[in-house]
Amino acid sequence: MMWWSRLWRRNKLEQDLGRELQFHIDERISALKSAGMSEGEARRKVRQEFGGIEQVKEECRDARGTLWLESTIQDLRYALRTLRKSPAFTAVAVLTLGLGIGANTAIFSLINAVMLRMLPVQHPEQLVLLTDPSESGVAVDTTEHGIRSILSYPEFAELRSQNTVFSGMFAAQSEASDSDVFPGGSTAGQAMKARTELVSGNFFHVLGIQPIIGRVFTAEEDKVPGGNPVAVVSYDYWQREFGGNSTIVGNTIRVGQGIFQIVGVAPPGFRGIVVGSDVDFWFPISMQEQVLPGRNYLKPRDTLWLQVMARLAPGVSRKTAEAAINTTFQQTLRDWAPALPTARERRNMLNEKIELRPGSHGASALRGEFSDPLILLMTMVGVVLLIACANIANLMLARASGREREIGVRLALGAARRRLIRQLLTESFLVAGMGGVLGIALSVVGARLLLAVVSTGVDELGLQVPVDYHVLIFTAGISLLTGLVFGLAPAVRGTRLDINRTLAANARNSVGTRGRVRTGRILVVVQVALSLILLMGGALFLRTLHNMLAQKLGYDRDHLLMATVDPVAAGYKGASVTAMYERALAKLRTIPGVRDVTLSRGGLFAGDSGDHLAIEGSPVRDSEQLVSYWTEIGPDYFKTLKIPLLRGREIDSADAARGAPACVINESFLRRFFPDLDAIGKHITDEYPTTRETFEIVGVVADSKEHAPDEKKTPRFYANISHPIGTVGEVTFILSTSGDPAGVASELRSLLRQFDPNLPILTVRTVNQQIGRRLITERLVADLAVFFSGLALLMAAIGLYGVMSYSMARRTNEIGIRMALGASAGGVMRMVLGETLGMVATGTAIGLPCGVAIARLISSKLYGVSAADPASIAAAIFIVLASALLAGYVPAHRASRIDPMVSLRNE
Amino acid sequence: MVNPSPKSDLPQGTLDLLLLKIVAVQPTHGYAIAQRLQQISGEIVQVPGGSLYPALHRLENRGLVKSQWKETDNGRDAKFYRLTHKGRVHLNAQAASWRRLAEAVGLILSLAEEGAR
Repeated sequence: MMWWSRLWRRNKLEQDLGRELQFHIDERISALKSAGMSEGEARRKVRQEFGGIEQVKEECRDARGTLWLESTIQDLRYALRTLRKSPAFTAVAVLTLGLGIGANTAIFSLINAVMLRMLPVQHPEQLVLLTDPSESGVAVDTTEHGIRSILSYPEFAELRSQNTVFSGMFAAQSEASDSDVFPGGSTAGQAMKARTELVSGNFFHVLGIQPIIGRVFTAEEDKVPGGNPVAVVSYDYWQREFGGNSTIVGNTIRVGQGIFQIVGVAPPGFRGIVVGSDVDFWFPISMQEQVLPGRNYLKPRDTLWLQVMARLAPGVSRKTAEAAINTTFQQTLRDWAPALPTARERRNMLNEKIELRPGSHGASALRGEFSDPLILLMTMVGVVLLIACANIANLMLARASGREREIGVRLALGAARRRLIRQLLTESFLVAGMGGVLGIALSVVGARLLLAVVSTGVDELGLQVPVDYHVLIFTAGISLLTGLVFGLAPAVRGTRLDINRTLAANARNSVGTRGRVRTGRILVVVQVALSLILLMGGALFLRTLHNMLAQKLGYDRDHLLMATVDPVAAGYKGASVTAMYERALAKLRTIPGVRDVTLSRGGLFAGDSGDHLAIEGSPVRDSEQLVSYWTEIGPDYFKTLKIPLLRGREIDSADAARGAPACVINESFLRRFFPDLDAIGKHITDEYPTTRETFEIVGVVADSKEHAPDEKKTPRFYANISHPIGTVGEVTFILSTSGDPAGVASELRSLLRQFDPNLPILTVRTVNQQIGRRLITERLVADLAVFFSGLALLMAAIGLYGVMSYSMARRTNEIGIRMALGASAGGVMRMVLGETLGMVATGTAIGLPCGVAIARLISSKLYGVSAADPASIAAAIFIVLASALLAGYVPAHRASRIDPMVSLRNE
Repeated sequence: MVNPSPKSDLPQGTLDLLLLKIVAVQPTHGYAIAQRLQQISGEIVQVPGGSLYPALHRLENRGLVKSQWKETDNGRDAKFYRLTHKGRVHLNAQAASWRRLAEAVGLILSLAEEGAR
C-alpha cells in the first residue's frame, strides 16, 4: 500500500485500528471471566495491562509511518477551524505579521536587487571585474593611483591582445550617457530620452546574450573608428517606445552626430552590467566620436573611461588571472612611464594595479551608496518584526488560557503533550504563513514606494526589484521563524497543565493565569525596550538629516540656480569656449529676478577635484602636505554666491577675457600654506601628471562647503576657468536670484536654447535641489527610521493595551473586593496606570543603555549629534511614555468603572 | 502483577523476531500472538498490548508481514497477520544471527564461570 492510498483510506485505517484493539480487549476480558473474574474486575485488569488506549493508538499510527503527514493535515484542518472561530484574533495577528514581514521583505528585496542578484547572463559566476567604476564614482578621469577603477581604451586594447587567461574580455562605458535619440535619422522630430552605452564588439558574445530579434554586435565591429553605425536596443525600451514592433530591425536613429541602424533587440531581463543603471541602446565602441561628439576617447592613453569585465577561461583561478593580467599591465605602464614629467608621477604610475573582483553581480554605484543604509534598515525592520512576534505571542498566551479546559481534557484522554505542542505550533505556522503571504503583497507595494522615494533624488533610478526566489525563500524563512518564535513559548506554556486542577477549577478562575500574565508583562517590557531603541535611532537620524540640511555652507544656498551644459558637444573649442561663456553670462543676466550670474566647472554639490601643488614662498615642504582641492570659476563667483572676500580681489571679467592665470584661495589654504598670512601676489602651480598650470593669487575668501554638508575645513583654490586645468568639459552657470530660484528655471532653459540650440543642457537645478539629491540616503534612513519606529511603537502600545486589558479582566474580582473595601475609582485607576508605568520604566531602563550602545556603533552615520544626544533620548522616552499612558488608560478606566456588586456576584 | 516490560527485558529487536516467528507458523491475530508467546515461553515473555500492536504495525509498515480481516473460530472478525516473503528472508537472517549471538554469549558466560571457579 503506497502512502497516498493509505492516506486516502485513513478513515478505514482508523476504524480498523479501533476494531483490532477492541477485539484484543474483548478476548482478554472473556478469557479472564472464564478464569473466574467478575466483569468489573476483568475490565479493570485489562485496562491496567493495556495502558491508555489512545496512547496505544497513537503509537500504532506512529508505527504506520505516514503519521506525520496525516497528523499534519489533521492539525492544519483543526488549526483552520479554530482560527475561523476567532476571526478578530486571526485578523489582528495576520495583519501585524503581514506588516512586519512585509517591511522585512521590502527591504530585503532591495538588498537582493542591489547586492545579491546575479546578472542574467550565462554562467555569471565565471565573470570577473577588472575595474569597478563604482569604487571611485568617477566616469571619466585622467589619472588614478593604486588600484584602478577605470581603464583607457589603449590599456584595454593592450590587455585584450595579450590575454591568455580569459575566454573573453570586454569593455563598456563606465557610466551610461543620457542621450537625445531622434527616430528616423533627422533632428527635426521629437527627441526621445535614452540611456546609451558604448561597448566593445564582443560585449554580448562574452556575456552569452542572444538577441530575441535580429543580431547583436560581432567582435569585428569595434575595429574601425566611425565604421559601424549599428545599435542594439533593450527589450524594455523596444516595448515602451517602439510598441514591441517586430519590424524594428533596419530602422534608423540619430544619436549625437551619427545615424545608426538598429540591428537587434536584447532579451528581456538584460539591462546592462551595472545594477541600478539600465541601458536602452548599445553602440559599438568604435562609434565613440559619433555618440559623444567633440571628444576622442579612443586614442589618448590617459583618458580613463572604461569598465572592463572578462570571463575566466576554464581551469583558471581568479588569482592566476590577476597575476597574469598585472604582468601585462605593468609592461604597458613601463612603456608609458618615461613620458611623465616628475619622478613621483612615474613612481605612482608604476604602482598602479588591476584587481580582479567577482563579477557575477555586475558593478553598481548603488551598492556602495546604499548597502550600509540598507543593512541598517534591515536591522530596524528585524526589530519591528520581533516586536510583532512579541505581540502575537501575547495574543496566543491570552488565547491559550481560554483553551485551558480543552487542552486539559485532551491531555486527560491520553493525548501526548508533544502532539499537542505540535498542534498549537501548526496554528502558529498557519498564522505566520498567512502573514507571509500578506507580507509579500505589502512588500511589492512597499518596495515600489521606497524606490519612488529614492528616485526623486536620483533621476530615473533604473533598478528592477523583482520578487525572485531569493526573496521568496527569505520570506518563507522569516515566516517560519516568526511562527516558531511567537508560537513556541505559548505552546509549551499552554500544555504545561496540572490536569486535575484545570478540570476542577471553573473556567473563570483558571489556574496558570498569573504565570501567563507575567510572561505577557515580560514581553511588553521587551517591546518597550525595543521600540525605545528604534525611536532613539529615528530621532538621531532625523537630527542628522536636519543638521545636514540646516548646515551653514558659507554661501547663500536658498537663492541659487544652476544649469549645466556641454559646450564640447556643441563644437566649442579653445578661445571660442571663453567667448561663449561671456556671451551666455551677458544673456542670462537679463532674466528678470536674476541678481548676479557666474559659472564654475561642475557647480556646487557635484564631484570635487584635488591635486599636488608647488607653492611659492610657503614654508611647507612635505610633498604629502602640498595638496589642495580646486574649483574652476568664472567672474563674479564670490559676489554671486555671497562668499565674503577677505583680502585682495576676485577673478573679474578682465581676467576672464584674457584668460589670466589668476586664482583666489580660501582661508584654510592661507593658514596652512602661508602662516604669515601674506599670500597675495604669490604663485602656486597645480602639478598634474600631464599638465601643469601656474596661477597668481589675487585674493582670499572665507571657507565654504562646496560639495558636502559635512565637508571639513580644507585648503581650496579657485582658478580662472578661462585658464583651464586640463581639458575643457561640462560647465555650470550659476544664477543668484532675488526670489525663489526654481521660479526662474524655465526661463533659464528657454534662454539657453535660444542662445545656442545645439548646446546640450544637461541639468537645471537649484542648489537646494542638488543638496537634496546628495542627501538621499540620509533622508531615506531618517524617513524610514521614523516610520519603522512609529510602527514599532504602535505595536508595542497594542501589546501593552492587550496585556493590561487581559490582566484587568482576570482581576475583576480582586478589584471588585478592593472597591467594596473602600478603594476609590481614582485609586484603582492610579494602581493600574502605576503598573503600566512600572513596565514602561523597566523597559526604558533596559532599552536606554542598549540604545546608547547601539547609537555608538552607528555614530559614523550621525552628523552634528552625539550618540547619547540628550534631546533625542528625552524625545524618545517622552513618546514611549505618552503612548504607554494612552494605551494603558483604557484598561485603567475600565477597571475603575467596575461595579463591586456585579463583580462579586459573578463569583 | 507479573508484567515485565519487553522494552527492558527483551533485547532490542528481539520482540520483532519473536512476532515474525509466531506468524510464520500460521496467520495469527494479535491476541493469539500474545497468548502463544506467553504459553510457549512458559509465562516468561509477556507482551502488553501497548507494545504488541505498535510493533505489529511497524512490521507491516516495513513489509515484513501482511494483514487481513478474517473470521475467528468463535465467529468474530479479527485482523490476522501473516509472513511475507520479505519477512521470511528477514526472519531467517535474524534468527541465525540471534542463535550465533546466543551461542557466543553462552560460551563467554561458561568461560567466565570456569575462571571464577
